[in-house]
Amino acid sequence: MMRRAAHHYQIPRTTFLWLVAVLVFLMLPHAVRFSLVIVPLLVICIVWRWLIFKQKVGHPSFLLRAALVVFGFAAVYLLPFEWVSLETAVAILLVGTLLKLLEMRHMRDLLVMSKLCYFVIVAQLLFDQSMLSAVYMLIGIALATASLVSLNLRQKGLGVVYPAKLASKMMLLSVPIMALGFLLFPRLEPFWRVPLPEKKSTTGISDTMTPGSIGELIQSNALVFRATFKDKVTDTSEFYWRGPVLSYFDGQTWHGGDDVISSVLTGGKIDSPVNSLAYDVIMEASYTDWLFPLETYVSSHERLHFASDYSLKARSPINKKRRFSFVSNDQVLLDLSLPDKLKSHYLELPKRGNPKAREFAEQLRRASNDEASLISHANAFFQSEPFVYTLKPPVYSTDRVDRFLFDGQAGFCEHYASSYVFLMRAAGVPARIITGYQGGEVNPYEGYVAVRQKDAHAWVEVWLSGKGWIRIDPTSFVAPHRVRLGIMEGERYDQLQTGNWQPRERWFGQETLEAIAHRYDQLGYIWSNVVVGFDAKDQWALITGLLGLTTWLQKALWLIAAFVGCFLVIYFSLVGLPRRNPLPLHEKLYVKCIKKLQKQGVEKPVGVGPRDFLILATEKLPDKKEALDNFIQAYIRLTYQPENTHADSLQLMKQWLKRM
Amino acid sequence: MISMKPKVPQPDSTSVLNDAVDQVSQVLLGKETSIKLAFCCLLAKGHLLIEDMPGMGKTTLAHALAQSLGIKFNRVQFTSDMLPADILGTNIFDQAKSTFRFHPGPIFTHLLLADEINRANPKTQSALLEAMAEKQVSIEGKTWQLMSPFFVIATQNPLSQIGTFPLPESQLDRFLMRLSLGYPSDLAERQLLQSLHTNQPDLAAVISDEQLLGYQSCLADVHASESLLDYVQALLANTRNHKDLAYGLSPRGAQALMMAARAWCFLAGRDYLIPEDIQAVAASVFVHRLSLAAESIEAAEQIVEQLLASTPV
Repeated sequence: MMRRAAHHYQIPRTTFLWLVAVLVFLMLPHAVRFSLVIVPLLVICIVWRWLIFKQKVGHPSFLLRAALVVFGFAAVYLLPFEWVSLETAVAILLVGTLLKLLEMRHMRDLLVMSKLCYFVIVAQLLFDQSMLSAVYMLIGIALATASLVSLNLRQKGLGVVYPAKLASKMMLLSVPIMALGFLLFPRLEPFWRVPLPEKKSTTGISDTMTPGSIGELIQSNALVFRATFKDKVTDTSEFYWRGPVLSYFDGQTWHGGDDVISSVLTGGKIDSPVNSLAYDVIMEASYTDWLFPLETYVSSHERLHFASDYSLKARSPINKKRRFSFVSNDQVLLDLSLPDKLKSHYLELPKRGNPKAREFAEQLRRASNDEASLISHANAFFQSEPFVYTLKPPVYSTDRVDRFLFDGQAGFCEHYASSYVFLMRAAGVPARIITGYQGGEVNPYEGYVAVRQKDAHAWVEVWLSGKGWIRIDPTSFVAPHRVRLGIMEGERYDQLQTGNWQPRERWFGQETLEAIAHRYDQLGYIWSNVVVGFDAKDQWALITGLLGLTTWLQKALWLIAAFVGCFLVIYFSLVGLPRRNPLPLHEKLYVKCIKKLQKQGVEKPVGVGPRDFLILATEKLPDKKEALDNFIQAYIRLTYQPENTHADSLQLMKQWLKRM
Repeated sequence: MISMKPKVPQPDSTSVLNDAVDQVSQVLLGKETSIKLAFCCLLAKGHLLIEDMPGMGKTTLAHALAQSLGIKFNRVQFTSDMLPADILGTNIFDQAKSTFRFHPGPIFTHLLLADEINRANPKTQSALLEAMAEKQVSIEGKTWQLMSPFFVIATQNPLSQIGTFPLPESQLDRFLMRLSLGYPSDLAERQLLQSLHTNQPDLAAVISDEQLLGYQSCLADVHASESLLDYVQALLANTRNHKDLAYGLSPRGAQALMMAARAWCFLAGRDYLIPEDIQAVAASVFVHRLSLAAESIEAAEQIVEQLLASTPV
C-alpha cells in the first residue's frame, strides 16, 4: 500500500477537467450514432474517473478492466452494424478511448489519452465532411490541444482557462500552415480502401419501389445534389431528374428490369439535335451509384454506365461528394422502335390480381381507337374521379391497384405512377415507372438548384410506336400544385382543398429565417465546391497556374522539388533542425553597439568586460557618455542580473543605442 | 531608468568595508588594489599568501588589516627549527592541580600572520595548513576549535631560497589568493619618504568580528547569472587547454575564483557578478595554482593576463 502511494501520480486538476470536456464534446456526434454503447460507457467512465480523482475509490484492478474491455467489445458486437465495417472500427476506437479513462495512472497514460482524442476527432471525418462538421472538428482539436497544453504546463496557478487560450493561439498560428498544407500537400490516392459507412437504402432512391418507400423519403430534408446551370434558372417545375427505371412488377414491389436491360460504359451516347443544356451536378454521398441527370441525358465528360433504359450509373458508388458534368436535351426522342422482347417486358404483369383494374383497362382499350386516345381517356379518368393527393394514404393491402383506383382514391406519386403503368400495360401499352426527383429549390444567392430527398418523385413513361417513350406524370393530373409548388407548399394546398387548411399567417421573422436557410445552404455549396471538392486536379492546376509552369520539364522539376521539400520537412520535424542558440535581444543590441562604436574608432578587445568597455569607450567618446553609460549599465543588468531587471530596459537600450 | 536596488548589501556594509580599505590605504600607500584583494580574501573566508621581498610592507598590511577589523592578531616568525607545538599549543603539567593543562599556541587567534612560512620544516607547515583547512586542531587526541573568524596571512620570501622548504602545490591550494605587493608607485613612494612615521600608527577598528561574519554570510546571496557562468567556464577551459600550462585550474580553484569574485563584487556594492569581478581577482587566485605548471610565477602571471585578454566576455 505504501509502495503504491509512493508511485501514485496525481492527475493535474486542469488536465482532468479539460480531458473530460474534450471527451464529452467528441462523443456527442458518435453518441447519436452508437448511443447504446457510448452514452452509458461515457457516463460510467467519467463518474468512475471522477470518484478515483476524488480518491473515493481506487483504480480498477486488472480483472475488472479486462471485464470492461470484454463488455465493451460485446456491446459493439451487438450494435446493428456489420462486424467488419467502418462503424464497428470507430465504435471500437471510441470504446477503447473511453476505457482508457479508467486506466490513466501515469503521465504517459494522459499523453496517450490526449492523443487518442485526435484520432477520435479525425474519425468524425469518415461520417460527415460538411462545413459544420469541420467547425466542430476544429473546436475539438482546440479542446484536445488545451488538455495537452495543461498537461505540459510546468507553471502552476495559471487557471483553468489558460490552456484553452494558449491552444486557440496555437491553432490560429497554425492556420497558415494548415492552408499551405491544404493547398500544396500532395493529394495521393489512398493506398488502402476505407470501408464505408453503412447507410440505409431509405436515405435515397433505390432500384426498387415498395409501398411507402418514396413516402418515407419525402419526409426527409436531406440534400441529394446541387445542380449549377450556365444560365439563371427560375422555374424548376419542368425539371425531372431521372433516376432508376422500374419495369418489373410482382404485384407488390416494382423492380428494375436487370435481365433485359443492357448497359454500356460510355461518355456520350445520343446525338443531340438542338439546344442542349449543359450543367454540373454535385452529388452528396449517397453510397449508391445512381445518377440523376435531367431528361434526357445526352452525354458526359466522364465514362459512366449508361443503360438501354436511359438510366445512368456512376462507375463506383458515390461515397463522397462528387461532381459530374452532364448534357441533357429534352427534344430527344427515345426508342422509336422497340424490339419484341423489350415490348413484352414492358407489358408484363402478374398473372393474377387487380381484376377491376384489368377490366377497366379493357374498357378503355375498347373505347379508344388508338393508343393516344387511350392515354387521354386514362388521363381523363384521373382528372374526373375525386382522387386526393396525400402523403398519408390509407393502407391498401391486397389488390393494391384496384383498391387505390376504385375505393380509396387517395395517395401520392408512387400510387399514381404504379397504377397508371398497370392500367397501361393491362390495356396493351408498354409503360414503365421512372423514379427520381422533380423540381428543386433555386438558391437566390448562388443560383444553383438544390434537390432534396423531399423532391423524390415517381412518374411514368409510355411507349408509343413512332413517338418513342413519352413522359406522363399522373400525379400532376390530380395535384398539379405538387408539381408546381413542390411537396410542402403542395401539401398546404391540399389541406385547403379538403377544408383542413388553417390560415397560416407568415409569422414574424419567417422571411429572415428562410433567407438564413438559403444563406446556410449557399455556404454549404461553396464549402463543398471549394474545400471538399478541391482535388488533385484542382491542386495541380493551382500550382502550375501560380508558378506559371508551362513546359513539362518545369512541371517535372517542380514535382521533384516538392517531393524533396516534403521529405526534408518530415525529416527535420522528426530529427530536428541543426539548432543554433539565437542570441537574446539585449546581446544582439550589445553586438550592434560594439559595431557602431567600432565605426567611430573604439575597438573592443576580446577579453574586455562590458564595464571596462564602458570606461574605454567614454574615454574616447566623452560626448556620448550619457548614452553609453545608460546603455551599458542596462546591458550589464540584463545580462548578469536578469531576475531583478525591468523588461522595459530593452526599449531604453534601443533608445540609447540610437543616440550613439 | 533602470531600477538599481541592490538587495543584499545593507546600506552601510559596503561603505563600512570601504572605510576599512581607505584606512589601510593610509598606511600602505598606493596599494589600493592589493588591499582590496586582501579584504576580499578575508570576506571569502580564505587564507592569503603574500609573496614578496622583505621590506615591501607585508607585515604592515597584515597588521593594518587586523587593526581595522578589530580582531585579535598574532604573529609567528617561522624558522626551520620550529615544531608544530610552537604554533598549535601544548599540554603543560600543572603542578598545583596535578593535571595537564592545555596551553594554546599562537594559532588561537582571529588573524595569524605566518611570516616566512617556507622557512619552517614540512612537518610544521603541514600542521599549520591542516589547521587552516579544518579550522580546528587536534592535540593528543583532543580537538580544539579555532576562533571564528580565522584567517592566516602567510608571507613568503622569494629570494634566499637556501634553507627553505617550498610549499607543495597541494598546500598552496589552501590559500585562496596569492598577492605580490611590488614596489610602490612614484607618488606613493614620495609620500612615504615625506612622512616621518617609521612606526605603524594605531588604527581604529572599523568593523567588528560579528559584522565581518555577517558580511561573509552575505556572499552566498550574490547572484551569478548563466552568462557569467558561461564566461567562467570558458576561462577555466582555456586554462586547461593552454599550451604553456601542464595542467589547468582544479574545481577547487574554480570555487575559489567564484568566492573571491563574489567578495570583490560585494565590496563594489553590487549583488550580482559581472565579468570584471572575475577578471579583477583572477590573477591572484590563479597564479599560485598555476605557477608550478608554468615555469615561474612571472610566467604564470603573463599567462593569466593572456587568458583574460583572449577569453571573450
